[in-house]
Amino acid sequence: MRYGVERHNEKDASVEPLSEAVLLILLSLAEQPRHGYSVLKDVEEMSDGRVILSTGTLYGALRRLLGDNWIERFEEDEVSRDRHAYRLTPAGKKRLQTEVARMKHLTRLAALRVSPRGI
Amino acid sequence: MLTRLYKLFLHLYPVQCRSAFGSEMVSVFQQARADARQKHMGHRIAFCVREFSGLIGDAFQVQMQTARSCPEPWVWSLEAPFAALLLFGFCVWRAEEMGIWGFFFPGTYVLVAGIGGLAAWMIGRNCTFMRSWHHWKRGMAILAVFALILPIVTWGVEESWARFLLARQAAFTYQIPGVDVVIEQGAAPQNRQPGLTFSRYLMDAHGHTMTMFHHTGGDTPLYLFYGAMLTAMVAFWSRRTTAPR
Repeated sequence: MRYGVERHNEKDASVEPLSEAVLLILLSLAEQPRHGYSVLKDVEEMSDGRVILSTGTLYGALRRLLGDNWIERFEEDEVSRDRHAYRLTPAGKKRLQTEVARMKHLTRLAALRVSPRGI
Repeated sequence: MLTRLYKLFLHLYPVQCRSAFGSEMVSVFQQARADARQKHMGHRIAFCVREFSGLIGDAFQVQMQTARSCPEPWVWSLEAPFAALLLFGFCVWRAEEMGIWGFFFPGTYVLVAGIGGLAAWMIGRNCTFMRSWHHWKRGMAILAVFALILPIVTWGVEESWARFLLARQAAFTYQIPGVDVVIEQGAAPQNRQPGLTFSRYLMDAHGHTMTMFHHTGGDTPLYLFYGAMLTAMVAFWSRRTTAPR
């Protein structure tokens, strides 16, 4: 008798909330395509110095995002050196919009439930 | 200096990952380092800690990910850890003649596993130096590396451990199912249960003496079980990531 086994405990990346670092990286790339160092500085600036990524952490996240097809890597035209930049793909833009909508919903909910008098 | 160290640490990544992102990561590291240089000492130290811990952590994650998703059956990775265990077994068997013991110190087992895994990773197809080598040449390299490194490391570690205990007149004992190790000061002989007992007697220049006992119930299947578990563990850890041979 043949039977198949399906794994149901795998996390679906498209519905899981994004970590702060990943969200900031996506936000950074939403504005314009950037290379690694520019993403690093932008994330630090956006978070007011609260989130400082190391190169290893940044490239770990970039590799995962490339694997999920949320960003793409390309060679910068104007620079002759072997330098790559990253930009959001349509799937990445969509994922970012979903996450932002989720956060807006949470913020609205929080504003309704936790009134200033209630705190 | 730091950039060189960073490049060296990049070798913790699998070859494919390193060749795809390595130069870019070094370039970003150099730019970030130039920034950190302009700041105070505390910031620079934090930068170094963050960079190297981030790199090691990420490399470990990538290695585990590639090991899990490796299309090659894990049994192909057995050669190096198996050779390590075989040689360790030989050292134990000929311990008295060779003066290399190894089983009185529990850390030796971890060391053997570590060296086995490291050699599997280096000598396996993951390593660019020996990628195109024929199978039998790789096997020879494995044996050569182990025949040189393993006995020296085992001897060095256990000798330092024994001298450390002797100098402090300290006792030590550990037990795992089937194995009982007792290290005590003095030269008192011990009457133990039937089975296989190895003992080693040490004396320093001040006349301090210490005896180390390693007792087993002569339970060979148990040793085989431990060996097989350790080999499988190391083999999994050091799985190859390139196409099957």
